[in-house]
Amino acid sequence: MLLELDRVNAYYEKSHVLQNVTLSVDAGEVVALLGRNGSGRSTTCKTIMGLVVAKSGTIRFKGQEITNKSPFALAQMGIAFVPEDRRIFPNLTVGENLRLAALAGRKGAWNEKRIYEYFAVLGERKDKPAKLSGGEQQMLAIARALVANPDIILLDEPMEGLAPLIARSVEEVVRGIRAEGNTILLVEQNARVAMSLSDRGYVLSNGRVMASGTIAELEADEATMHRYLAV
Amino acid sequence: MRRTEGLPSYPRRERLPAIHLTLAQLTDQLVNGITLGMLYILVALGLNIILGLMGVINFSHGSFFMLGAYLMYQFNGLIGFWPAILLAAVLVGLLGMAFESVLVRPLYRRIPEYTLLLTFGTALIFAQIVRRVWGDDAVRVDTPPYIPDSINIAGLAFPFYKDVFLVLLTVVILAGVWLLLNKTNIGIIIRAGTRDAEMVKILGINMPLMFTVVFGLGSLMAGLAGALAAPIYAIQPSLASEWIVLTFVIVIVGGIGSFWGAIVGGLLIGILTSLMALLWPPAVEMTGYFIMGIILLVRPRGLFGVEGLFE
Ligand SMILES: Nc1ncnc2c1ncn2[C@@H]1O[C@H](COP(=O)(O)OP(=O)(O)OP(=O)(O)O)[C@@H](O)[C@H]1O
Ligand SMILES: [Mg+2]
Repeated sequence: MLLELDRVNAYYEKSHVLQNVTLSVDAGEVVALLGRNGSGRSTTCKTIMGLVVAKSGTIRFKGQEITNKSPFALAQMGIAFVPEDRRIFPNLTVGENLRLAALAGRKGAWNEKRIYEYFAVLGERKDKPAKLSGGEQQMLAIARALVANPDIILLDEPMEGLAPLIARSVEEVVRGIRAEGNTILLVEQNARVAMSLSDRGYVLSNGRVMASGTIAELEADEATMHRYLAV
Repeated sequence: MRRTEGLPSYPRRERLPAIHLTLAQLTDQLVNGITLGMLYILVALGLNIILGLMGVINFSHGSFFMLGAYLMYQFNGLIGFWPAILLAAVLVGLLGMAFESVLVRPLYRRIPEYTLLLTFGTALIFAQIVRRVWGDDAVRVDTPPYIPDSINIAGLAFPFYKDVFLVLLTVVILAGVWLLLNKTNIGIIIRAGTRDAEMVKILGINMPLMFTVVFGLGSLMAGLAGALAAPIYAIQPSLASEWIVLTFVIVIVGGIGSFWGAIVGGLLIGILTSLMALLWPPAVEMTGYFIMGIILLVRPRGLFGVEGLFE
């Protein structure tokens, strides 16, 4: 397994947000993290990335224990995190945003040139300040992850808050990078979209893993789907 | 005669200073103000970058300026004028790096008031150390004999080191800082970190190391300003508190995190303070606060502190 969480517990102050979360992602897989608002999906990503402390449990990446390592060390090891609020630097140009992400990244299939070919919108705005629309911000956020040539991308609700048409194009981008064999842990609100993009899934509720399995298995389990997801 | 001999009695009006004299004085004070402003900028810019990137209100920044001047004084006799300036600046930079990694770093996760208290306390300690080592009285440094005293520009004589060399050198240094911030990868990291340091870390940048480096650079600039100022101001322990307060005023006037804000703020305060010394000496000390008050009323984030950090 590329990434494994073993009975991870995390807290915000006193509230116990991740409760014995166990999950794994294999190389080349797209794994969906499903659940309603506030179920702990973003916190799972943040805990993997070292942004939220895991009070107990272990996280392993490429066979090495990485629990509570610092975010920059994890990024250098090959984990990319695209947060739900995207966190583009608006005071930098689009090109500088990308350059920054490439600085500590690794060499590989993606470089700045290829990014600009793949994301034409970004190429056009390369030298302009990154004051972008929601869809463009998301493209740039994904591009920043790709340009580092990571082993896994933690992708937190990439389609959230976008107009349907724009959301579709972001979805196609995710489908495209999946087709290239990238490994993704995908947080997605919309179960149908998540299912169509993923190989396997975990269903979170109140910080616990309530169900897991292949997409076909999860889709067949209508009771769970109704109970824990917005379908 | 009851009138005093030899003193012709002029009508009162004519005893006011003649216009040409005022103009010369004005130019003088204007140039003084520019020199002072340029040094303010060097100190304020370091303070501002540290505040913008790390959120640390470094009350010891003025002490680094003061230490730069004292170290320059100390080494001047040993290794000569220019090496002394360089060594003083570098030592203050290294001190800044040690200061950040040992004292400030454990406090980043705490409330900002902690670093404020810490750096305020260390400023008091630095002042005491300086009194112990170099005494309460002012010391002074002379420029080397081969540096001309003054230079004629358009028929006016300007002190060479203070008003020509220093101003040109600081312009060069500021251009270098601008290039560093805008044209290098370190500059991208600093500008991005000023917005969202955690996201920079998520992108794989070793931010703890960057914090130490940037703190060191900011301190180096303060130390360099102090060393360069050593030959023109009385070197005394009160330098630290005078300069920290004024450079804070400049940062607030210019806008937190703004490169151009520090420059415009520094020149504004430097020049207006100098002119005030001519126009109404009792108000000199108040000038900076007065400007700050007016600007904060009109623009609460300072002149350039709107959105773009280091733009
Ligand atoms: N910084 C924080 N401090 C305190 N509580 C938080 C914080 N962030 C999230 N929480 C709480 O922790 C729980 C899990 O939040 P999380 O962000 O992981 O949810 P999520 O599944 O990503 O849902 P969504 O993104 O729709 O909010 C929620 O109850 C949320 O209110
Ligand atoms: Mg979330």
